[in-house]
Amino acid sequence: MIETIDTSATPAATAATSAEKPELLIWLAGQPGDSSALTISALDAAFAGKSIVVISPDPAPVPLPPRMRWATPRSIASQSAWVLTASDFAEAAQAAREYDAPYALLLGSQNHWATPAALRALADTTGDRPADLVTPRPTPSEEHGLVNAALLYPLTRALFAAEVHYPLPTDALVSLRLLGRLENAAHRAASSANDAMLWPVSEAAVASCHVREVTLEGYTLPSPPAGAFNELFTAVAASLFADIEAKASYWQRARIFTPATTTSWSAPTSATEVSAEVQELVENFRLAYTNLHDLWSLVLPPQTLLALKRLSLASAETFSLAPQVWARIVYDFALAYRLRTLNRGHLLGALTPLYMAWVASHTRAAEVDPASGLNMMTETAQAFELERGYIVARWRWPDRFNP
Amino acid sequence: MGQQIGSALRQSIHRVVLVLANFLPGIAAFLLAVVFFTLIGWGLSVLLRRIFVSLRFDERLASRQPNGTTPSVADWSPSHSPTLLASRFVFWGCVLIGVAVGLSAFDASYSANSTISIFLLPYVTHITGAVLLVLAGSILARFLARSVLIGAVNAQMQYARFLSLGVKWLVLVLAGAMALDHLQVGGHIVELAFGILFGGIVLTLALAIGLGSRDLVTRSIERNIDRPFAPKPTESQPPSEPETSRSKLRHF
Repeated sequence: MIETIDTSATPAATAATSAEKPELLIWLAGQPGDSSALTISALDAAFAGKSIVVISPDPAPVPLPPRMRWATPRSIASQSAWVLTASDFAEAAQAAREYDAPYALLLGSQNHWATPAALRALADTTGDRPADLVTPRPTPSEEHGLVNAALLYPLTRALFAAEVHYPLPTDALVSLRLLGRLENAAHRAASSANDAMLWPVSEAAVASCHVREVTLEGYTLPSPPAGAFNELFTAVAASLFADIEAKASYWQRARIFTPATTTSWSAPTSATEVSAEVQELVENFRLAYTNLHDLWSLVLPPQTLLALKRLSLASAETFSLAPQVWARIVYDFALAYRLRTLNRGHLLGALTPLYMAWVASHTRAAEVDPASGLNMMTETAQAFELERGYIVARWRWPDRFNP
Repeated sequence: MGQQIGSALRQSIHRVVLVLANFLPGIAAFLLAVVFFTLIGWGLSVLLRRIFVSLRFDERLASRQPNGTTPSVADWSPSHSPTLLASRFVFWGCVLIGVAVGLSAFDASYSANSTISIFLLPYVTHITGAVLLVLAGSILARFLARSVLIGAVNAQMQYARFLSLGVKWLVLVLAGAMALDHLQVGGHIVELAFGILFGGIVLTLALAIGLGSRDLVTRSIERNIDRPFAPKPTESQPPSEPETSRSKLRHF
């Protein structure tokens, strides 16, 4: 780190600031110029009176706020990164150790939400038990991210018992202890790619760290760079499945509470007009069913294939993929990823149309009843929890269930 | 006359028996070498597997493996086990050495001017090469066909299966022609037939894609033509949303 000290301050104040142990390290990820003056002033207002160190690719502001130290990271984040990457965690851990900071607040490149109040809420670790990881969540009305609702949140909740709605955070507060673990994972991941994704929530669950989620007013999820959805979906799913595979010994052993009841799910039967978007998604699913049925039959058991056949014959008005069927599909694909039943690129490519079927089902449900659309995230997560025994059994004895 | 026919038959039988008598020791030597080296390979692979299991080789390698999509030795191994990969590699290596030693013994059992040795051995090598070519071609064809099928389905192409089949048969025809050429069977006929078939498949695919994508291209051209004439936004009339942002779905 190349540290900058405020030269306008008195020499005594400068020496005192340098020797002081910071209470918080702030890691501003992203490209130079992204960490705007707005964030700096918000940080100053949020942590006034606290000793903080800011690591940012931007040059230090002049004058530097009192009790704030500024340093530049050793490397600049990857251009393509839209979430916190392995190199972000590794460098933040190194900096936190170097400055002996107990916590690091990692902020992504899209931090327009960063008001002083929001920053203070995210950095608040007090409670019954000090938190090792604090992640932000938008207010429910602002929640987006269908991949998160269909895949990331349900899997993380079911396998790692972590009630964190966004397991792939772009902003997070991490303790030094958890950062150490993430640094090890990052070093392993960094040998393949510096912009590899890490899953701090599952890492925290394995390390028995306390995780907390704070709902932030005005918080918005970052948008990935514009480009092909298929590549992005494949990359995220591959990273998640690899993480599940790496932590199989944990989630197979863990005694996680399974809900006895779930909210009832029923296929939409309303005569509400089908939107063109849903119609297109349904037609795409039918096309995929015709062409990819043979590939799916290598991965999915007959019961699921039958459900997919029925779905392909259903009209757009009643098109609905039951959460339990979707949960089993994801679990079967996670297992096939582990067993390499198919080439992994092909496998994740074959999962994409099934995810689109879930999207069609979700969108149709929201058309018929907007309230049920909002509950879809919870319903899907509950279905994943109910079907947890299925993945545990299949993971242990994959041949017994072979299609 | 009868005596002459009988004598000719006896002589030909004698010659065939003689050739077989010369041929059998070579075959026996070949089989013996293969069986011997297979047994050695089996023994070595079992020994290697036990050593690796006792050293916890798989666990050590897995602990060094990154937590993402990392290419490593384990990615190439059967059932995701490097131990199994190493033991199978040793086994099949020994089998191959056995085949090589057997062929050498087979060759040595003939005199240098033996016609069978001169014609048969190079042909066996060519057949092996051709079989490998066809095998590699069929594996590549399957892989490419699946890649094209999945890519085309995810791009919502109606003719995905047709495209995939076309690619598959292109590669298979190429592999077949290469194998026949390697065997020196057919000569120019194979080249000609291959050219016609390959060209035919490419033309069919081009026509299919061209005709199938007609609407798509028309829409794309229409969009490009319409764009400059789009009305400028005014205070009372907000700018119309681009077509790409029509979808309300947000995946990430």
